[in-house]
Amino acid sequence: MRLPELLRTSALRLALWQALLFLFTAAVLAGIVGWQVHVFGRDQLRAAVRADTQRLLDELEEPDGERPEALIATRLRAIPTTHDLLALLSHDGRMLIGNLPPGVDLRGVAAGWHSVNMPPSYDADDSSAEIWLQRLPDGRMLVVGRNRSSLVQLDETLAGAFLIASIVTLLLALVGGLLLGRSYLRRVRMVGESARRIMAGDLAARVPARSIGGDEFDLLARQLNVMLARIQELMEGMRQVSNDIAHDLRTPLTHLRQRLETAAQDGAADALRAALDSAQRDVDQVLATFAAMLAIARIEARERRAGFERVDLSRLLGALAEDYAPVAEERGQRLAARIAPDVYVQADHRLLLQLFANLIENAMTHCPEHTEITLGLAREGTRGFRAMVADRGPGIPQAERTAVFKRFYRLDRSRATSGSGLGLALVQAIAELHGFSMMIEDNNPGTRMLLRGVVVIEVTA
Amino acid sequence: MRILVIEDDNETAAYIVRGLSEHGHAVERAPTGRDGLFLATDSSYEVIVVDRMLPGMDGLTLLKTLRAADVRTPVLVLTALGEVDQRVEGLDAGADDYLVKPFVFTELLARVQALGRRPPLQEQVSALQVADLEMDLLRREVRRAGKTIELQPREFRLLEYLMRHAGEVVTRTMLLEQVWDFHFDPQTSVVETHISRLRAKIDRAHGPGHELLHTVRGAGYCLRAPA
Repeated sequence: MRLPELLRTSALRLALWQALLFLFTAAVLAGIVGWQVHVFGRDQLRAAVRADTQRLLDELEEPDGERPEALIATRLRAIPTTHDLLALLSHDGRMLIGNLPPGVDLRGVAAGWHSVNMPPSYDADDSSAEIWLQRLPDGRMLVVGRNRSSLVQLDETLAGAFLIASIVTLLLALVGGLLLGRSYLRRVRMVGESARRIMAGDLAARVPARSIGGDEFDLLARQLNVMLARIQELMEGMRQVSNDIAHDLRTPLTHLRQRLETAAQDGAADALRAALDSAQRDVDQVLATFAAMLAIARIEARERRAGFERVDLSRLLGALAEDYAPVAEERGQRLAARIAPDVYVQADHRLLLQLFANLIENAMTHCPEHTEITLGLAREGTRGFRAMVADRGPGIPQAERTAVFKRFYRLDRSRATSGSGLGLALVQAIAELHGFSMMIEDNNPGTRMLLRGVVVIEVTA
Repeated sequence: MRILVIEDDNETAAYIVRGLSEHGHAVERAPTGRDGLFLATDSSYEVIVVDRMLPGMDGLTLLKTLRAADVRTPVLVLTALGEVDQRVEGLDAGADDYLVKPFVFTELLARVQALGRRPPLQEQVSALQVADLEMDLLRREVRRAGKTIELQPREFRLLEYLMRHAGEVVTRTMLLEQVWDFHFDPQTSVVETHISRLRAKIDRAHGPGHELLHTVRGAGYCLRAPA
């Protein structure tokens, strides 16, 4: 994997941005915490200085107490380091006794809290101290102070911790981003690889994906695969149509050509007339087949549910039953209707008419005389309907029940009958467009064509 | 009737022009959309037949332009096989009827004649009459010679359509589309069966020579008063 590409991954960029954001947040936080700690430390320091001062004052107030100079001298001897400051100043601010470093001049300074800078040579650690000036009853000034080194150490420790945390965060972000980026790249490449294979002609290629669960990549891959499957289906449908056209139209066209050739050689007026008539029938048949195929292809290519409206299926079937009952009667058959009222569906009215007309006509043409054909509609559960066209005819063998919906499929016994072999393919295409399911059941004896789907729930105004 | 045929394919155009002329119509032909538009706006025709696919300017654009120019001449649009879904588009653009190619000539003739006889404004009528056959559209009653005839809803619609086009030839396809809303070719004799039932109800009691509903061989049906 080349590095530049990796550096351009969105995962790495995201990780680095996040790291920057984290650093910024951490800096703000460190600032606030640092200040709080600093104030807290200073208060602690002052409290200690106050306590020292109080102890000194208490001792000075004792009746048998030493004089301030003596007391301070004693104390100074007990302070081993230069950590704590202690001094007694005269009225005009000169140091009478004490360990104030040279150069520290407190003349004219009022009582209260002060900060004094320490010369570098005096204390390597620190450059300042917190001091308290307390005026004594005799007018002289007592100076008590503490070096700030502990406070500075605390600040430095905090700063150091923040620096280390920042570096670690940046490193982790970089490494994490690189790893994540690599895995993203790998998966994007897998999609790209599939796309290349499909472009190269392998329509069956799919994007690798975990079938259950998985992350957003798997989700995307699965959706892509569904899309690819649909595209493949459409492409194969088209290939199928071309094959069908080649196969099913070549035969009648060949016949037509032979007939015309024979007629041209024959030349007798009657024969010519007959040949022309049959040629016209052949052409009509070819055109009808062509029209049916185009109709199926158009329905299959149509956007699902586009231009649908609320259709009263009960009324539609009722009207069809009335239209076809006399036709059945004329053929010596009977068409009975058992239709539940008020079943509404979201559909294309004309296509539904065609679907059921096809089913009814199919039943009529494949059943002998005296057969009863039933047109039925019932609700199924609260949301579904089942519509059926059932007959008591010869039935369709179990093994062929899926195949009859294919284009140009014809049962052996119906090869002799007329028809393009496209009726049920059209029915299937219309059902699919509507999201309805079409199946064939045994009517014992006979066939039951069953269409099931979802109804439109009645909205009471 | 003066008819304008706008069709780019010479063979199809010749076929249409010859057929319509043989039936006594004065036909002019324009080979392109632009010529067609020029002729259609310039002269007055009773019917215009226009191919949907034309070089230069397609049929629908031509139709829209015509309608925009307030030319209200009835228009029959010819569409190729596989463009049937666009019929809605065609009707939206202002077409009065459409016909899918390839067609049988009698189908075209029947539709052109139906369009030519269409009254300029579809006025609301409440009753139809052909000879002694009367139809009350409000009470949905049919009488012949004063005697009430009971009709099924579909038979009523079928008769209504025939009466509205009395004296004209209506084809099986026209009936399927207008009366049944079937935009496909049924494999069984739906139309024939209903026609024969209707004929039995309106004509049988009135003896030979008094039939109103006639079959026009190779073309369709015609409801007309006895000569």
